[in-house]
Amino acid sequence: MSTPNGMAERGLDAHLVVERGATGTGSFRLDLRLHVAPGETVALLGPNGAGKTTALRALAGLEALSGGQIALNGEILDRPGTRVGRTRAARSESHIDGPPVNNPDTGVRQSSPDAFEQGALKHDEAKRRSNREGIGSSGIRGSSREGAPGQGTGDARSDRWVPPEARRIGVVFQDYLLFPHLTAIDNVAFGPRRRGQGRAESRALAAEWLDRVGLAEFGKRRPKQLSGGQAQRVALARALATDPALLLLDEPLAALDARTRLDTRAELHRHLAGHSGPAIVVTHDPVDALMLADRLVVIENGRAVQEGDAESVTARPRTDYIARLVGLNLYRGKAEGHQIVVGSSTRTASGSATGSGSRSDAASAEPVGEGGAAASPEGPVVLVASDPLEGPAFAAFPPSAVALYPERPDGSPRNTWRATVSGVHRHGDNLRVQLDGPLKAAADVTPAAAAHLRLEPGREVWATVKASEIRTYPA
Amino acid sequence: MPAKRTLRRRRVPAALLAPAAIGLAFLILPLAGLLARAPWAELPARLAEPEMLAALRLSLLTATAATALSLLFGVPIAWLLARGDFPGRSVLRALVTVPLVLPPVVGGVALLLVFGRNGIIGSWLHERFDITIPFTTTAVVLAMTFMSMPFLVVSVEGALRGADLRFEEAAATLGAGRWTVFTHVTLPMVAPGVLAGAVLCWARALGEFGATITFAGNFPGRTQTMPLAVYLALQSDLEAAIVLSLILLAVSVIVLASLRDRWTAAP
Repeated sequence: MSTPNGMAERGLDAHLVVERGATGTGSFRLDLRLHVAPGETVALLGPNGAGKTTALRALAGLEALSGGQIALNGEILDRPGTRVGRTRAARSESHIDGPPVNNPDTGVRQSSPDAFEQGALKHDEAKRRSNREGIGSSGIRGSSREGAPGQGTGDARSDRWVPPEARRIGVVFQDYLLFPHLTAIDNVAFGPRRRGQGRAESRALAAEWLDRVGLAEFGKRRPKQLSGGQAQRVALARALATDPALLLLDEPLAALDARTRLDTRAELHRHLAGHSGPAIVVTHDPVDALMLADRLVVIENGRAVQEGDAESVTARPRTDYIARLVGLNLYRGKAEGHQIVVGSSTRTASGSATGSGSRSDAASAEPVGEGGAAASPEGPVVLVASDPLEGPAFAAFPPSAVALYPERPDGSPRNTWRATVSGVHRHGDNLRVQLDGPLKAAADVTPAAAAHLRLEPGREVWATVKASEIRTYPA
Repeated sequence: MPAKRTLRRRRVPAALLAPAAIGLAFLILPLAGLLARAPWAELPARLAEPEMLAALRLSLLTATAATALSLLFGVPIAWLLARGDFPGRSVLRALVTVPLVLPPVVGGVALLLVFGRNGIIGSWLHERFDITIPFTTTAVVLAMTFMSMPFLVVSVEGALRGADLRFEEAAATLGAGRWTVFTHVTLPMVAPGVLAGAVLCWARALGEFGATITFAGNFPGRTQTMPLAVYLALQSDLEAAIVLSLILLAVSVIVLASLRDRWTAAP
């Protein structure tokens, strides 16, 4: 995409602030900085309600920012002016139980044709902004492309809003949202057609894209006649056919069954690699995120809690959520050399369904290590790791690194503690054992070992982890 | 097993069965009576009578015109009611649907008061353009539109409310402006609702009597639609009335059949 200004930054540079609802219960605030380079794929990973979809909707222009800005290849797409920001805040305060300004449930703001003028409050904002910019629904594209006066972060904070139809952002929606009244090829041709190409041209382009996603023969089918995987590919083709400057995918694989998912994921990865612009994949599935993205941004409660490539995020989780996703026991503490004091076992990991918060007043705290790793009966637990570190730190180890013994093992490894089994469930070929005690942890054992240990809730065992298995890193 | 379940559901208590049977008989017998009394032998000849044809032609013409007008104005109204967010929307909806419950004669009187020669709009039209509306074919169309447009509005509004807004969002991300979204996504997706509303509207217009006779009078060839012709014929020529009624009945059945899936199928 040609930038209106040579100095413009390529790729996506966004600071997304979306506030919803009055302050207090039910309020939500997304505050997320995103930088995605051309050709890079970033996965937004997070639990439900973390704000992933809100971020994506804000980028696509389906929801307006309350603060921050969105710049794509140097063009400002959304930047609430300071003055507007204030009035907006005032408004949301005055409607304490009223609908939030940009409630997605109403969905009205974007989607309502303004053919019939109406003073809808929700429209008001977007309309006012577009009016100020002098972009009506007809002349939007010209003025937003060429006229962009504010690149980068101007101090003026002039209001700026480019409506979704003028953004050149391709979106693959969660349930694809293929138009049911159009055939597959017409669905794909919809975008090119709207962006000014002729009917024949659009169809040719659509046919080409269908071919590229391997659905050349399915052009005449209606969305209803497509399987989930096929619909997903049509949706991808539809988004890509507009030659988007930014590609957004909302849970692209969530609706597929496991088998289709595998194939589609591989194919999606191929297309993402071929996309020259920035791409963002929203997902709550770590496997999708790891497989599809170059970089992961983990968000919780509207904020980025961790960012990095797949390796660093999975190897060094910083929150309970990620630790659970990647199946690690995670503790936060203070490191002194090889020892790390994990005050209270605040974080358990490992995909357990048990609550993440744990009581730190575990009475039976008596982990004993040969090399001096010890803990007072009620106080912090000291783990010994092979890598030295100083200061606030995380300690993580996989459940498979935990060995369980019926009696205290002789010549035991350093990190040994007594634990109570609180739960056992199947995990792949093994059994995953939830351990209560000074260190809440998960351990993987073979069914044979479990039988031998007579593992059942309430049973007391000894748990050990080798120092070399414990990964420590600065918090 | 679904079959078994239907069987079980079919066991209706007698206390319900008896009134249901009586009610059904009440609904069906008159129609059967109409068919029984029909002069089948003379039917072709009767149908070819010029007055009959004139009434039929006028009815079809005006009902279709009224439906077209209802579509033109009713769909935007429905959109406004379904998607608009403005104070007084519920009041507006109530006002729009008043004709559904209003006695048609009252509608006719009201139209006469507005479009009559001394009415607010009527007098202006008469003075400025020398146009007189009451007791013309135009009046028939207006009366029909007034009485039948709410059916369309209600139907389309329901369809619009049921439509998934996310498709419109998807269209927007593909570069469709608001108007294009409406014409290319919203409208096609609610097309079944619009069609059902239009058919219902047309059927209602075809049967319009009270408002028409009040506002447009009963002039053969100009304002005498089928229902008016039936009423008139009943006073002199019972058989003609029966034939006309048969035609209207046939049209109704066809309309119902065309809406079969939408209206008679259980939701």
